[in-house]
Amino acid sequence: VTITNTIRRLRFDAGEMTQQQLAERCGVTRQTIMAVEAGKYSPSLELAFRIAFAFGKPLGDVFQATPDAVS
Amino acid sequence: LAATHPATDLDGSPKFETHGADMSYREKSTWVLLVSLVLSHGWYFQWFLQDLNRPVAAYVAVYGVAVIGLAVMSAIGSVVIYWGSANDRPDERDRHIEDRSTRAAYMVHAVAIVLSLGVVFSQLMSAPDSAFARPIVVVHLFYGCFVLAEIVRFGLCAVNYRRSAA
Repeated sequence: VTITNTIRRLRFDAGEMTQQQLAERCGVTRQTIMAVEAGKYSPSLELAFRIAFAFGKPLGDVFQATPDAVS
Repeated sequence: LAATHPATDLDGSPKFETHGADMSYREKSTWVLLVSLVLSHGWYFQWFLQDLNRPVAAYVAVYGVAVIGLAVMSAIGSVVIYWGSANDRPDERDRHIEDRSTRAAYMVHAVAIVLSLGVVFSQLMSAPDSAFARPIVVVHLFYGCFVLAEIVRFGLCAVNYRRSAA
């Protein structure tokens, strides 16, 4: 499964919320938010929900999953 | 590295904040421990290997210096990195990285212990008067396995932090 996210867009839409502000709302480090946003780290379900709650959006608006092709 | 506020790219999409290769407190702490361990114990083991027939008191004294050196380097390094970054509590990514690195280091430790046992047993059977029959050498062999596993653990932590960095 390939997971993408719209955190970058949502931060911008939320009045240019910084990664540090989002990190503080979610209770993680800024580096973790950076890694999630860049797709380098897949968050736990709990953190994914906390990120969605921070934006006041449903989980599906923040994270999208695409099934990988099975050969 | 200064943080930049989000601006827009030419296509109107917001830019990433450009923190570059900045590190969390935990990542810096990993580097401090790795460097301190390699320097202190690298120095100790190279001294140890120069002569395996020293009196035990000499090993105790020099090992004490190595451990104190490790503690001092770690403390100084921790103070330096504390000034440069927020002392964040470990979050799930930190724990994930530490768990992965610890699992790999455990395997290295286990393999190194088994190989060391093989070396000791073979030496005891074929050459009971060799250096490997001396308890102080056997102890150092197993202690070296532990130090190697710790170096692997900190090293993998450092690599995994970089690989998952934005």
